[in-house]
Amino acid sequence: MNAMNKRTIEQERARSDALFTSIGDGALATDERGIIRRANRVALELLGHTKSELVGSWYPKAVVATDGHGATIAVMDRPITEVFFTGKPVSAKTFYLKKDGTELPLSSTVSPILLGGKPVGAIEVFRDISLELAIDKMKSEFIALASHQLRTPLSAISVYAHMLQDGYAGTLNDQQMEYVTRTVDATTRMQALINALLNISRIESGQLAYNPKRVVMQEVIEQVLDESKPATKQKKLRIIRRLPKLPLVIMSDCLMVKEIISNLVTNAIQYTPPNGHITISARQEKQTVVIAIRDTGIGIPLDHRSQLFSPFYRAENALEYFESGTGLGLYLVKLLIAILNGEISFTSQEGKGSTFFVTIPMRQPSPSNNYSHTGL
Amino acid sequence: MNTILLVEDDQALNMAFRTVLTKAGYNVVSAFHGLEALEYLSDNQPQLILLDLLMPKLNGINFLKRYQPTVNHPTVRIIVFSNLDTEPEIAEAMQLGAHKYLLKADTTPKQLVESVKATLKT
Repeated sequence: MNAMNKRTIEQERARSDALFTSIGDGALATDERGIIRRANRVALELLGHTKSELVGSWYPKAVVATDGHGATIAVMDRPITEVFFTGKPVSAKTFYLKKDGTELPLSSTVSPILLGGKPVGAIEVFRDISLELAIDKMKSEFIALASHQLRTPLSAISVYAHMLQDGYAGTLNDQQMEYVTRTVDATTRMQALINALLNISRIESGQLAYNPKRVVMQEVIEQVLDESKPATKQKKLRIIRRLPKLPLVIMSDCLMVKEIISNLVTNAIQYTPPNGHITISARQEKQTVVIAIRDTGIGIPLDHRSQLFSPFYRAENALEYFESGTGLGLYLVKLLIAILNGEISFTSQEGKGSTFFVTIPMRQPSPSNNYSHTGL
Repeated sequence: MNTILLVEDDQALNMAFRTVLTKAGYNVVSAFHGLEALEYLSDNQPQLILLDLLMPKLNGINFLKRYQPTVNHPTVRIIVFSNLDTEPEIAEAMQLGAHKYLLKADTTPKQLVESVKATLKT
């Protein structure tokens, strides 16, 4: 190697060192065996280590990942392992154990260093998210408290209106009964609105925890239909079930699946004239389950279809037919389906009815591509 | 006659629930915060407690921590009856000995009576 080549290589190395050091987030680079080869200033500051304590050490041992409650995360479950196996970048929210023993919440992305298509190491960039978590916590506490404060006076209005309706203060004449019924209906509508807004703000701020477990679709559907019985009975609607005999089991979040079906069934009931039909079916299709809810309702006009899943949007005929809707049900359904990595579509004929199709994966390791050890 | 301890800080709601449950045939004792409830429980054992969570002086969770129902009155049924619907608080209340949770704003007087009846049977 001549002197000029040597100088060029040294200059390149110095440039790459400078580039690595000047990254504003913490950065660590390992070789193909997971030995830390580089650590920038921010990484050292965040973890509380000196350069000599990290560089040359085996990454999983030198940088200990925890679950936020002191338990160490196994090497096999760490993003770097996945990166070496798959050769693809992995993002995660996790905790690292600082030298002083405290746990630091952080968001990290580990990417493979590829040379000729082969991984020769990994680079991790991470940042402290303590402040973001504190703000999220405050936001969540505010939402919980605000909804509580809104619900308390509403509960008083609702309970006294129900008491009047139920005859606690004597028999009401027809006009009094009509006014009280209107009050009860308005409080029910207000309550539905608060619940929907609360659910949406929880989803949008990432506070709705995704808890996958064994869900038997037939059981969830029967629960929803059972809860809807008073409304279907009142409108004399015929409920037709087209469900497989064998249990249709998926691994998903039961409450979210139920909320999706419940919203669609409620819509079908609300927008179907008395004596109509509602057909609910579920079937397995490849690695998904497809649920279809068909009604003989008012249908969705062509020019309203594109905005149907927008918040507070209500089609013109829906407004005329059922004025009390919140305009949030389908928006909520859309958000929940996104968390479950599912899909929703519909067909409709104005004046004849609509069918909504929901497709949910039968299994999914996590609610989205966001890798997370801790549910942060 | 079964006795229900109603722990609810909102005057209007306390009065309404007392009326509903009295009419349903229960002997209802009202308390307006956790401390008042603890005072009553030091000498009395109701069959059921209807417990709000957010209350002044002593909230529902801290009330349960001090009352320790599973140790002191293991047969008492407890329904958490609150407008707070956050999962950690509800889970903590259940862990501390509550049997059921009802969201106040979603519960009609009829449903309340049905839930009380059903919980007393368990």
